[in-house]
Amino acid sequence: MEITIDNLKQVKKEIFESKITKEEKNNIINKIEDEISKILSDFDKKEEMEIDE
Amino acid sequence: MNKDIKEDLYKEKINESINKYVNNIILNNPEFIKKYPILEIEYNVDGTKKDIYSLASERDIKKMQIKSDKNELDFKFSQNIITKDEYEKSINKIYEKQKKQDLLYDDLIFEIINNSTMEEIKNSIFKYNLNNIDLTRLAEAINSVSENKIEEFRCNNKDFMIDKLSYWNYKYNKISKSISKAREVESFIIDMVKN
Repeated sequence: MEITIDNLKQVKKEIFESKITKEEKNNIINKIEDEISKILSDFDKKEEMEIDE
Repeated sequence: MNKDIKEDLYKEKINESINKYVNNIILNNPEFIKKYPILEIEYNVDGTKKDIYSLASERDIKKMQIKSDKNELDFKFSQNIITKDEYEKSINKIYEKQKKQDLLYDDLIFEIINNSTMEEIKNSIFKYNLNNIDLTRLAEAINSVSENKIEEFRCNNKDFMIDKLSYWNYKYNKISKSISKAREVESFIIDMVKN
């Protein structure tokens, strides 16, 4: 296997998928989605403030 | 706009989570390293993660191997053992291989710098009791990682549209924090050389 970032990521993804339970995976995804929502909401707030200024 | 950013952020966050999760899995199941030899780049045989010095040294060794492959090709070409076409094809392959290897090592070193405290980084370097030559090499490797990461950001920068300014700021702040930490590590190593 060629030494590349993508190949290493792929291997880690395979290991992750093989060991994680459905529940754990859902928890991780929910946490990420909450985090992303917060980041996006911060972006919107900042842009609104910039428009107001 | 938010859909694209959301996808980018999702990729970034899921990747971070996979990394954290897999670090623990490999620590508890080091046999994965035999099954997937590419993991040997990032992990020791006992499943612990390699530190900055190990990665930087291996990065240097791999660079030297590539340099030696290039010298061998230069020699073969100069002796007319291979044609110009064969030489150019092989040289391009070598450069491509080097580029991919560098990107991977840069990523791994940068990740350790991001995820460790300065104290942890300092201790991981102290334990080797390095001489000035090795310290200088290590400082140069970290400098090169920072430069490559800045260049990578500059290249990606071209893809950003103006309506993604907040996201650009988010990415910029993230990379600048990491670069500033990498510079701090570099300065710390250079100070060790002086003393």
